[in-house]
Amino acid sequence: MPEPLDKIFADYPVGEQTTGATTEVSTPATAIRVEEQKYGIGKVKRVRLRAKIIHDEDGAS
Amino acid sequence: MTRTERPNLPRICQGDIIRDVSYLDGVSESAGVLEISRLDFPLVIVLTQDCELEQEHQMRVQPARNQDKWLVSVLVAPLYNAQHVYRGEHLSELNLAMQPINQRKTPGTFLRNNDIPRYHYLEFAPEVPIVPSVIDFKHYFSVNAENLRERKKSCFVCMVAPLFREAVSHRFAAYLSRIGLPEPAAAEIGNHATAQLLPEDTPAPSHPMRQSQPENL
Repeated sequence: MPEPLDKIFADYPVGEQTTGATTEVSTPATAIRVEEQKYGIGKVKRVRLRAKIIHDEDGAS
Repeated sequence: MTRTERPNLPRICQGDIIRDVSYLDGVSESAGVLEISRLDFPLVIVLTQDCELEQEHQMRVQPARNQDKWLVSVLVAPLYNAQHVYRGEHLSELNLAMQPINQRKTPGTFLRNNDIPRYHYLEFAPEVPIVPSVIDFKHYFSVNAENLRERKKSCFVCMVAPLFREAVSHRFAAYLSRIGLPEPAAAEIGNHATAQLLPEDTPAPSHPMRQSQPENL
């Protein structure tokens, strides 16, 4: 469960911005790193999930 | 600068910006294995009318005779990092290349002035943790209302303030309701240079809109 944004950005320097895509607790150091990476994050991603279908004894799945 | 608010409302509101919202892209089954493809959007904005969202919320919190105001889904559109949009790279993780927009020339200015119907440019105050972003009206999608309500509890960023959010939805409605007219043939618009290239026996295609218009127009 991601942390609330209030907590994430509690220590975020004024004037710095991110796309909000991080769940790290923000410190000045992480804020700078996020700022450096901000154009490398925040893109749409595709996730593929696979699950095996299990059939019950009566044939229902 | 887009004004934002952080109202403490339990319901979904028009203009809400919510992070990490997923869209089920497809479900397939093969040899007893179910595969679900999901797109994870870092940020979306709610486009559904606020009165509809408010009425549905009232129906849920107050016992009602019926569920007439029930919503199947909520309409949202993704926010993309403007820097990614300029480079046409905002969907690169999906192996999709978009048309680049030159940030320093006229197309970039048009984008930031909201002169391109497809896009809505948003710039936020420094205390809002969102970089300058672009809504792409072409990429709107719907999210299950119940899922979005749950998502909002932990992933609510801010709400675009009234008037600003109405500007977004008004431009979205205008974009959706645009009418694509067919291009008239060169001969019809008096381009003789092009018309002369056509064989003499080629009939000029009739304009579908013109047929339905009275002669005196």
